[in-house]
Amino acid sequence: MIHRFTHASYPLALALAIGGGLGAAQAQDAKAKDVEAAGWAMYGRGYDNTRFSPLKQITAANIGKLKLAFSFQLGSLRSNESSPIVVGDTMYVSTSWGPKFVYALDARTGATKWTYEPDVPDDTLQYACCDVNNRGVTYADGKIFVGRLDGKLSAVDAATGKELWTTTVVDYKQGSVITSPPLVVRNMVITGFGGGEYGARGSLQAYDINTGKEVWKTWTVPGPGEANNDTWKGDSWQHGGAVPWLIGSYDAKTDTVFWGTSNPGPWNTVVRSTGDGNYGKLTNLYSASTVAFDAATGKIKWHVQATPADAWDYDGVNELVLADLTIAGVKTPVYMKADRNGFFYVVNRETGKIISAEKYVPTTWASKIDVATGKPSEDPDKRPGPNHPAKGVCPNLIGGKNWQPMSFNPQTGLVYIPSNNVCMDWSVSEVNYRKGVFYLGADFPTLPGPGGYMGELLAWDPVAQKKVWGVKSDLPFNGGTLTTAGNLTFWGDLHGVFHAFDAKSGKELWKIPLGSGIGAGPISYSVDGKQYVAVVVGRTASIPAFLGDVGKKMTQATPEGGALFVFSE
Amino acid sequence: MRALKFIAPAVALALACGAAASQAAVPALRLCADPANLPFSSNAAEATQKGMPGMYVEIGQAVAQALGRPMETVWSLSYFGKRNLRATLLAGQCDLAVGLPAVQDFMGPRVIFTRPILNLGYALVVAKDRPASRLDDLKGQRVAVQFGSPPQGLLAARSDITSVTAMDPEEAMRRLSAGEADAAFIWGASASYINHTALQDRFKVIPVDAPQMQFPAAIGFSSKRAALRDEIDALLGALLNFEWDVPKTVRADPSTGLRTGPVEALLAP
Repeated sequence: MIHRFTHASYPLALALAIGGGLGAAQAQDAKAKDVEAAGWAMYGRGYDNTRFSPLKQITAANIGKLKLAFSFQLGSLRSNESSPIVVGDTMYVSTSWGPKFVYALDARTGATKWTYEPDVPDDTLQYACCDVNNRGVTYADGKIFVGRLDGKLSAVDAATGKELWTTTVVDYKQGSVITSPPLVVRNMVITGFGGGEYGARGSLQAYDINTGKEVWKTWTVPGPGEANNDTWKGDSWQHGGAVPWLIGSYDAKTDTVFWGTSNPGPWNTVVRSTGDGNYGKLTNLYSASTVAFDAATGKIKWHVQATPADAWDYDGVNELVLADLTIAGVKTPVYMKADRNGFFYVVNRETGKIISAEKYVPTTWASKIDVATGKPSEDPDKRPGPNHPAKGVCPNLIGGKNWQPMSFNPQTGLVYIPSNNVCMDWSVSEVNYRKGVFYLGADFPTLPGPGGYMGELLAWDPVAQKKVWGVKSDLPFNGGTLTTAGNLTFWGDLHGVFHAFDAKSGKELWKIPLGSGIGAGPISYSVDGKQYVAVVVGRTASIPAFLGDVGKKMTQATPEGGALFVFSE
Repeated sequence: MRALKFIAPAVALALACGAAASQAAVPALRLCADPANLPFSSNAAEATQKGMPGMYVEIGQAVAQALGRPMETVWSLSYFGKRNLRATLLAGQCDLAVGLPAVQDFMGPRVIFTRPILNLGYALVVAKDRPASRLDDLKGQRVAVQFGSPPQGLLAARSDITSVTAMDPEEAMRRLSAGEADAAFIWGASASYINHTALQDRFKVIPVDAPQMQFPAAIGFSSKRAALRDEIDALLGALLNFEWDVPKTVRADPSTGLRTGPVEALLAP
């Protein structure tokens, strides 16, 4: 068996909540298993971020009967990237702009139970590098936790929508915003924040779920006296970036929290490293890395850096999908990561040892990764530096995969990756134009990758490190994926079309146009014995602005939007 | 509003005659400006009360007066400058933005410009009693630079000067005046403004003349507003021929609080 779901892969609080009142341990287990199978309690469904639903009512045999159960207007346009969560018969879904709203809905009908409107100031767009997106909320212990664009974290009563506490994680006016849901481990709600290019020094922070008081804070850029501070030149560590802005994962067995970190700042590598590929020890740890934290203390256990002294904006933030893979006959606990740098990493999550790292999209900046050291074999021509612009760099800055979540199906053994095939020319000019820093150069020209397509839904065998099937798209930056025990994989694209495929063969089984570009990952859940599939639509607005003519195609594909669609039979 | 002295008498006279009759019918000229970016623009109560809304606002007022139109300011923060311009200037929320880089590839053909009206650039800031006047005079010393700025990259590429990184010109000047740095190498206009308003002119501000250090700036418009651009461009010619010297006035008159040492008016038509 490749992967087994256990209670440990679900929040403890949820397991406890359903345990009360049941007699026999066996009945309790069976009931817990059903409840666990029915819900979708956090962003990636479980701590393992697989986005695999064990539900199998909807299959290839009956998907033709899938129809709209309800839709819901989110009341907020553009960059709606939320994965709804479902606990019991209640769905919690957030919107863009703050979030502007968090709704609690009857998961069967869409009837509104409550609406939470956090008091988010109206100037956040100015400080959000990459749009006013929000990717969802987290449930634990009867509370909903909301990370906010204004750098705050709020806890809301899941039953009433009443705000319980709000704490400030970071000053958003330094260009640091929170766009992703936090991770709850025991009594702690853990979050990072964004702003890697704008002078932030990254940290991961844990707060008490009942009070909002800080439990621990760990810098992801070490200071003087800490290990690896000497991987930064001069005082550049003070504003080194390496912010963990996306989604965390957790392994209860080792009590380890995993998080990816962003690119280092500023973009000009000579400020923080040598300015070329001979970076020596100036690798800028722990930027563009996967970092393993001890959950109890926040202490860093180990790290795997994918892109040392990054010069391409290859954030290492992409989600870590945890699974136990059979590799060379041995069941191995791994994390999988489709890194922005174009390589797919399979790493032993108990030791931090790289098992394999192979190209999953057209990639030119490096030929391979040394699995012993993690060091990429770079093409010196493709590394931009002072007076050394680079041409034909693949992937471009949005990466082989961006934030849109992949999924892993233990039954097929495949990972479903929303990948990009885009390249770029780049120089080291700061492209920002703001107070005290005048405009210098043109936007980084964006070029379609080889092969005449710009995105591909990839079904990837993580053990063999090869593509099994793919569905190409004329646009990059398509939506996240969901895979189910019904042998289905769901995926929305930037044209606003929501598709279902046979998870094994890649055969398209069903599709429906939903009117605005899809970035969010779909989810599946069951209430009263009926399986539902839900997805949020509402295309991105800020990212295309970085991408010239390619960006124009992205925004022309559909209007802005903001709606939830839920399907059932 | 503070009386500005740079409108030529003939133009001012023409305005005075026409103004009463036409004011109501003439739509306001809408200036895009940052509410918190002195010495360039501010909507802070103090700045408004003193009649010192910033150089870009003053230039906007001068242009509006010369056009015989009232001026309205559309305030929006420019932390991300290009995005801000997309949401304001290019979305038709306002008509003009002062102080944009006068280069064609700034935002492509969507943004068009008048002739350059200012030179803006980076400058060295050192104590008045120090002999330093160029970068090579600062070897072995600590120099404050802004994160992500060209001076930061330039200093990082040499091993004989230690960078002290600041997040904005205010922090750089604060660290300089606190003795945490021996000099600063930052945006000249901001340095001059802070030096004058907060630091009693203790420092001298020396423009750095090197590639990527000085930039011509102009008034920018959406490409859909070519007629307005042409009208204002022609007017600038006239103003230049008369007394188009807002920056000079500002620089020469400490009472305005807007002295901006390295800012140079391009007086040649």
